[in-house]
Amino acid sequence: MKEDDPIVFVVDDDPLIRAGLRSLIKSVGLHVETFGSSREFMQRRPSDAPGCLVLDVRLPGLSGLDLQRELNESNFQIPIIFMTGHGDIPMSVRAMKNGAQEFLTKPVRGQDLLDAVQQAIARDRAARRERAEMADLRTRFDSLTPREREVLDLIVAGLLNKQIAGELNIEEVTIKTHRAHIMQKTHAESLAHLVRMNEKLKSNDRR
Amino acid sequence: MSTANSRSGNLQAAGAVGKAPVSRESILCTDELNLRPSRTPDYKTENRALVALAQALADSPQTILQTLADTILEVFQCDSAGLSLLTTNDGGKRFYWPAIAGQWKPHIGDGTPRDFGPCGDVLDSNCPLMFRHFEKFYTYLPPIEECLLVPLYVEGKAVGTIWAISQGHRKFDAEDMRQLVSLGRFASAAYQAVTTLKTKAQLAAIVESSDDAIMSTDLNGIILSWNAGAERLFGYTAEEAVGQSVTMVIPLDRLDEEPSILERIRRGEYTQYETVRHRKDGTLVDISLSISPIIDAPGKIVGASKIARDIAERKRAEEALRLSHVSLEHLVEQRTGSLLATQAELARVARVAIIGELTASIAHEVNQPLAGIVANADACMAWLSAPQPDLEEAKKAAGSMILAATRASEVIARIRSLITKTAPERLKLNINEVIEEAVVLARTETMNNNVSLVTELASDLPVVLGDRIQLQQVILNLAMNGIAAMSSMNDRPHRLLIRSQTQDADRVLVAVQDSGTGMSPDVMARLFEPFFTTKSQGVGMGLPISRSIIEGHGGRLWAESTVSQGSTFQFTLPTEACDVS
Repeated sequence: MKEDDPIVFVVDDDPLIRAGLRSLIKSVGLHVETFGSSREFMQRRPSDAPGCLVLDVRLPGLSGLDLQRELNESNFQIPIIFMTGHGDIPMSVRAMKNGAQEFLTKPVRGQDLLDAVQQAIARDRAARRERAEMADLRTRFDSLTPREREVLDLIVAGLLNKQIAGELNIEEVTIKTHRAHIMQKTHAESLAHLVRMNEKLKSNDRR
Repeated sequence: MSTANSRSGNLQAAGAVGKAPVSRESILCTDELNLRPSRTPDYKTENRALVALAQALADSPQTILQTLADTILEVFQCDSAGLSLLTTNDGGKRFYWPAIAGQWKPHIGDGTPRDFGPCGDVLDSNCPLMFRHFEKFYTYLPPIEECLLVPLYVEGKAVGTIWAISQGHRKFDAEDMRQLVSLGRFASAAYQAVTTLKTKAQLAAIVESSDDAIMSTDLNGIILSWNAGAERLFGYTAEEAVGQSVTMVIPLDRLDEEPSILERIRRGEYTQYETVRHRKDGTLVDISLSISPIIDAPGKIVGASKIARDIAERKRAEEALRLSHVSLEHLVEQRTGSLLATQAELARVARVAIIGELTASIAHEVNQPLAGIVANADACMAWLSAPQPDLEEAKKAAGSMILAATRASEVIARIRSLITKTAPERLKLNINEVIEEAVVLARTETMNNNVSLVTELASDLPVVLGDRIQLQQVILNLAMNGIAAMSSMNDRPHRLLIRSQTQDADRVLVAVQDSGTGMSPDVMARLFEPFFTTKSQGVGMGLPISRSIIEGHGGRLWAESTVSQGSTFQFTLPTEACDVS
C-alpha cells in the first residue's frame, strides 16, 4: 500500500453488512477497514492517507450523527457517507448541514455507494491538497520579517517603490532589497502571483 | 444570657426600665393558640397530676408551691415553670417568684414589677396570655421563646400567676392552656391553703372548689364524700349520695366494673379508664374516671378517691373526626375512580402506540438482513464481472448472502411465534362485556370526533371462548376505523353502531357500522392486505391483524359497504358449545 492510497472506513454494527461492504469496496481495488462501533473507529490511529467514512446512522453507543459531531469538534476532516434504514428528512438535513457527503437509504445499491465513495475520496484528496498548499503558503509568508511584511502590505495595496519609500520614510534602494527578499521567500513568480497568494491566505484566515 | 448558671438576684435591674424597641402587642401571641394543630385533651396526665398534687398538699403543704412548679414542668415537658405572687409587705408593687422549676430555678426569690411585666399584664387583662420573646419588650427579662401565663385568684382577688416557658423545642397549644388553667385552679386553692389555714377543712375546700367531680368511697364502694363537681355531673346532691353505694350511678350493664376497681384499690393500684355513668335524671354521661387508693396515716388502704370528668366534648370531637374520615374515604374513592379512568385511557394509548412501535421495530429487524443481502450480492456481482473474476471473493460474498437471508427468515419466524404465542388464551366470555369495555376505551375518540356511539346488544347471547384483550382490540380497531371514516364528513350525523346478535344458533355476530361515505370496490378488494391504508397516518396493519385474530378464534371477519351510506365490519365467533379446539 502506497502512502497516497486512499482508505475507505466502514462503521456498521451488523457484521453481515460490514462483510458485504468490505467485499464490495475491495472489489474496486480500494483499501477498506471496518468497525463495529463509533468507539472502535475513534480508537484507530489517524492516517495521513486520503479516504472517506461510510457510517451507519443507527449504532449502539455513539450514533453516526454523534460521531460526525465529535469528528467536527476535534477538527478531524473526512467526508462522510451516511447510511440509514429509516432515514427521515430532518435527520438527513442535519447530517448534510454538518458536512455529510451523501445520505443513502438501506439497502444501499452497490453502484450508488461506490460512486459516492469515489466522489468522497476525490473531494478529500482535493481538500488535503488545499490544506497542504495553504500550510506551505503560511510557512513562506511567516518567514517574512516585520519590516518586510509592512512593505508587502503596501506592495499589494498597489503602491510603487518610491511611494512606499515615502510612506515608510526610508531609501528607495532599501525598499528594492526588501522587495527582492519578499519575492524570494514567498516563491512569487510575479507581482500578480504574490498578490494572489496573499489574497488566498487572507481569505483562508477569514474563514 | 444563660439563666441556668445565673445566680439568684441578678435581676436587680427589674423595674429599671430600658427603652423597648418593640410594642407590647408584638410580644403577645395568645390568639395563635387556637390556630395551632389541636389535640385530644389529655385528662389522664392531668388527673394524675392533680391526684399527686392533692397527695403532696396533704403530706407537706409547706413545699406544695414547689411541687406545683415541678409538676407543671413535668406535665408540660417545657423548659421552665413557676409561680409569681404579689408581694404583701409593700401593698403589691412587685411579683416575686416563690417557686420555679427547670431552667429559671436559680431566679427563685427574684421577680418583676407589678406595673411593667408579663404577670402584671395577665392580671390587668384578667385572662390567660401567651407571650413570645417577652424580653424584646421587657428587656430586663432573660430571653425566651414562648411563655404561657394564667392568673391566680384567691377568693376573687388576683394574687399572682402560674406560668410555663418553652425555649422552642415545643410549641404550646390550646390544650396546654386548658391544662394550665385547670392547674391554676388547684394552685389558687393550694395557695389559700398554705397562706391561710393549713387545716383539713381547707383541703376539703380545695376538693369542693374543683370543677371536676371528686368522690371517695370505702373499700366496699360506699360513698364517703361527694363534692359540688360531682353534684353537677351526676345530679345527686351530697346529701343524697353520701352513704349510698357508688353503684347508684353505674349502669346495669357495667356493674361488674366496680368489684374489679375495688380489687385493684385493695392492691394499692391506680386506675384510669373511660366509661359511662348514670345521671340522676336517667341520662347517660361519658366520663373519664381516675381512681386512686386512700391511704391512712399508718399506711393502710382504707378507701378510694375518684375523679370523674365529663368527656362528652371529646366524644363529640371524636365523632367529628370519624365523620371527616368518612368524607375523606369518600374523596379517596372518587379520586380512585378518576384514576381508573385515566388508567383505561393510558391502556388505550399504549395499545395504539404498541402497534406503531412494533411495526417500526419489525421494519428495522427485516431491513437489516436485507441490506446485508444487497451489499453482499453487489459485491458478489462485482467480483464475478471483473476482467479477471475472483471466484473466492464471490463465494465468500454469496456465503454472507445466505447467512443474511437465513437471519431474515428467522426474524419472520420470531414475529410469527410472537403472534401465535398470544393465541392460546381461551376463556369463557360474554361478548357484550367485551364490547362495553371497548366502548369505554373508545370514548375519548368518539367525543373528540363528535361521534355518537350506540350499542344494540342482544341480551341472551351464548358464551364464547376467547382472548378478552385480543377481541377488545379487534372491536376497538373496527370502531377507530369507523370514526376515521366519518371524520371528514359534514353533511350528516356521525353515528357509530355496535351490534351483537346470535347467528345460525351456534355463532355470535358482532357488527360495527358507521354512517360514513362507504368504500369503493377497489378499496374493498384490498382491505385486508397488509400495509394497505387509506389514512395518512395509518400503517395498514389493523385489519389484517384483526382478521388473523378472529380466524385464530375460529371465526370470520368481513366487510360490507354501500358507497355514500357507510360501511359495516362484522365478525362471527363460535359459541362455547360448538368450539372443538
